[in-house]
Amino acid sequence: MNDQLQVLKLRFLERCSRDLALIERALEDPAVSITGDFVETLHKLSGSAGSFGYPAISELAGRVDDELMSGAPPSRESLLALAQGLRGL
Amino acid sequence: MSKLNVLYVEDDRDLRDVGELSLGLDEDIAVQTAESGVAALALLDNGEYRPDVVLLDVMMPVMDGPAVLAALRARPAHQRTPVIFITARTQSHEVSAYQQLGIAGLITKPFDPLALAPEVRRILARWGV
Repeated sequence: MNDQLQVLKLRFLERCSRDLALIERALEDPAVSITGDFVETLHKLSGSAGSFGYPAISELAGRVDDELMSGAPPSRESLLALAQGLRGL
Repeated sequence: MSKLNVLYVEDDRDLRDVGELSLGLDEDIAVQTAESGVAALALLDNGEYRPDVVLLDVMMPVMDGPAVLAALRARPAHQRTPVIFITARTQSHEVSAYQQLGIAGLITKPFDPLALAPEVRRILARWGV
């Protein structure tokens, strides 16, 4: 189990790098943060990070996800916090 | 004793794989996965696979969890198959809406990989399976 989980965790971390790049693009261009791709990415990150041992990332992504669900663009503060969390992985 | 057949429908590949691994920790569970509601229904419609329970992600593109649940209930063979929603959206009004759809239970994302199979079993026991 642990070996298999470790393989999945490494793959997840690669995905986090891609997610971070998307979030950084959204910080530069707020229009990115309301695209379907961005919404889907944040929702998935919120629902998955904790299962790989990163509950804080799930919580930070969940905050952005909640903001997106309200129909408004996410706050810069939430995006910055999530980006910082992802850089620390 | 025959194994408990669990169909896990999840569009997130990473989560689908970790869920399959987690459920597989229970030696008496046989896991089948599907990457979408459409794929799950196609699997069921070929008639060769019949799950004892469907673990269903709520937010998926094309067909979300409630839409897949409705499609299942429209099929005589799956009108009574227990369905467990799995979702990160668990505000009280959302949970209430899901429960009104007749689900057996709800699992919150992100889930603990070590606790997923026991949680499925707990929900099924409560549901009377």
